Amino acid sequence: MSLSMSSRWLRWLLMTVVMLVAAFILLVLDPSGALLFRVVGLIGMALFALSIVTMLLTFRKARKLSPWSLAIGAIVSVLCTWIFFALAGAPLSVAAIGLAVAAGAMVGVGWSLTNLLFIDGEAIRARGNIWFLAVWALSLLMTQAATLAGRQTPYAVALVSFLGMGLAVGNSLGLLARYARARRLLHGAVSVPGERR
Amino acid sequence: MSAFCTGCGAQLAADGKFCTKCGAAVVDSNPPAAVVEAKQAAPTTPLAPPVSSFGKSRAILVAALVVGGAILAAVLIMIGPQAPSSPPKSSTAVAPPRAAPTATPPATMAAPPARPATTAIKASRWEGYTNTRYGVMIDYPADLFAIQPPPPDNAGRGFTAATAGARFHVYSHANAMNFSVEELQAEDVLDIGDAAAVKQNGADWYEVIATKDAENIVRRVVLSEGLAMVHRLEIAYPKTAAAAFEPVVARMVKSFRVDPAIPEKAAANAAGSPVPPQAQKSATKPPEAKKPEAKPPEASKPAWQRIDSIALGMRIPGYGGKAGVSAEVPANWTKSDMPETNVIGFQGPEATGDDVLHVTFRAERRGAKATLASEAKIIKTRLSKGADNYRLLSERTTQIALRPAIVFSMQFSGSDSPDLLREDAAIIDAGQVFYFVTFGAPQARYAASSNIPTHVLETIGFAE
Repeated sequence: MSLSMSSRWLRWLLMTVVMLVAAFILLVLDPSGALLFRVVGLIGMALFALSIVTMLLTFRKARKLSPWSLAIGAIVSVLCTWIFFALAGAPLSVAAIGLAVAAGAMVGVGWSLTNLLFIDGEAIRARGNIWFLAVWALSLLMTQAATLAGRQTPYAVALVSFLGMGLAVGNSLGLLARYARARRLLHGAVSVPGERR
Repeated sequence: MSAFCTGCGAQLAADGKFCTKCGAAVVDSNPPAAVVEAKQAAPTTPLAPPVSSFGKSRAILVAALVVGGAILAAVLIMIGPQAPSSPPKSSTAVAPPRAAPTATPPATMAAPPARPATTAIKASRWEGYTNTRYGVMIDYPADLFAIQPPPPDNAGRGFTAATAGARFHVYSHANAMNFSVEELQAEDVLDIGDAAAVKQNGADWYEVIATKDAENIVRRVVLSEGLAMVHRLEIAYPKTAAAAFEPVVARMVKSFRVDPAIPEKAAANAAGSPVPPQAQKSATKPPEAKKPEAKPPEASKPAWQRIDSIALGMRIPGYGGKAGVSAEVPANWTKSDMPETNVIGFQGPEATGDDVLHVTFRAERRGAKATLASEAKIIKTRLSKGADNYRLLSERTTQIALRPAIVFSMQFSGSDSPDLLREDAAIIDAGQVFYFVTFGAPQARYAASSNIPTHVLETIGFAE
């Protein structure tokens, strides 16, 4: 049974306020921001580890696909990457950026194909399998290896960022395309569970 | 159909196939009529049960996409930053080259782009350049390279070939940190950032041939006077014109040499006295003095200013003894505001973008069991824990101003920026007081400004 809309929003609002207060306290303790960024880095590492555990535990479970979630995920990834490098300057040529995005998109589309889609009532759900997990692990290793092999130079950092952006966009677009196809099946004259012809 | 999920116990929807809470598939005695997407021939066809594994064709497609993407990413990493890149826009961006740089060597990374060099280059009129301050000589094609205005300290010269997109410079400085040939060479490789650089070295020379962006870079370094003086030649030319440049570069590198007798002759001529007999011999043995004694007088205004920490108000809280340091810093640097009374700092002018370069002097009363090594360890530990990408580049014990000292170089980046920073630190044991001298610069600008920490340590003195 899902939470009501209002209590969910309240919970998110409370978490946001708590994080902002904590960030403010850290900035008061260290106005240079070093402590804040160090804590953020540690939390990021913990979330990264937790995300691996979560993936391993839940990759087979069906989740409801939402086109808005898929689109927003891709848009956020593009915006964050684009804004960061618009401000910092990308030590990559346009061709290198395009190739990096294309490489990531290829892996992302392949990853999206590993999802098994099901129609459950009016919802379209997706669940992973061992191929899903394998491609996820490979993409994780690829980005980590690229950062290490590139010795964390600005070039390598930028390359990995655009690879990740391509991965997110490719995966989202691949799933969106399959979602659209599944929706056409859903609204076509197909059998629904329990219907006898 | 079960009314409750067997996984989490939540109540199930009437016709749901999956639990909406935990996502577990619903176990149902009636055959499920789930739909497999994209394979339906006719709407009235009975739906196939869900497949639990991939079809072969899909597996092949996934493998092809993933492997293809991975290979493309690997290629991009391997070729490295050789593709032309856009200039960084961070606050530590390198300033554009100035016509008369105050720092001796022209910035190697700030060459203005020229139109692509044609295959053939004109290099027929060879002339010699001699630096009278340090005795450095090189032959170069004067119809290809144009000589640039000299720096104020006359420690070298820059030359550019704007139409061909090439440049070279020679400059000299003291090896104040007593680095070995291998250490200097390793620093150069690190500075260029090409792990595949070709390296050669000998007892008192080394060479690095590397690529950076769209250029080939050749660095030839000769050490003289018992490794006390470092003489550098750097030539950069477009990779696209490598075939045309290589014979020219080879001849230039071969002609690069040092004659320590030249500065003595120049000093004698300037003073109007007869040339000493030793100066008339070729440089077969190093001169007796460790540092070059005879230097021609500076024609232009001094590039350095003498600072005195006592006059600037530096004091160690709670210490009644005398503590003071004096040294030369670049003339156009200004004193920075420091919260501690036992620290004074100087940084370059903001107008020229040199405010990212800084020197600090700190005096601390000697602790009960403090040693040079323990103080160095404190600094290194603090940085290694507080900064990202920390690397200790070199460490050496030496003497500075006749006092035991330890000097080390570190590289790191801040937690909020991937830009690599370089910090050279020297800790000097002056009895009751430890003096800490640090020079900081972005790694990308270190090579062009490395003469600054060298000069500071050459000219440093401590209150007795």
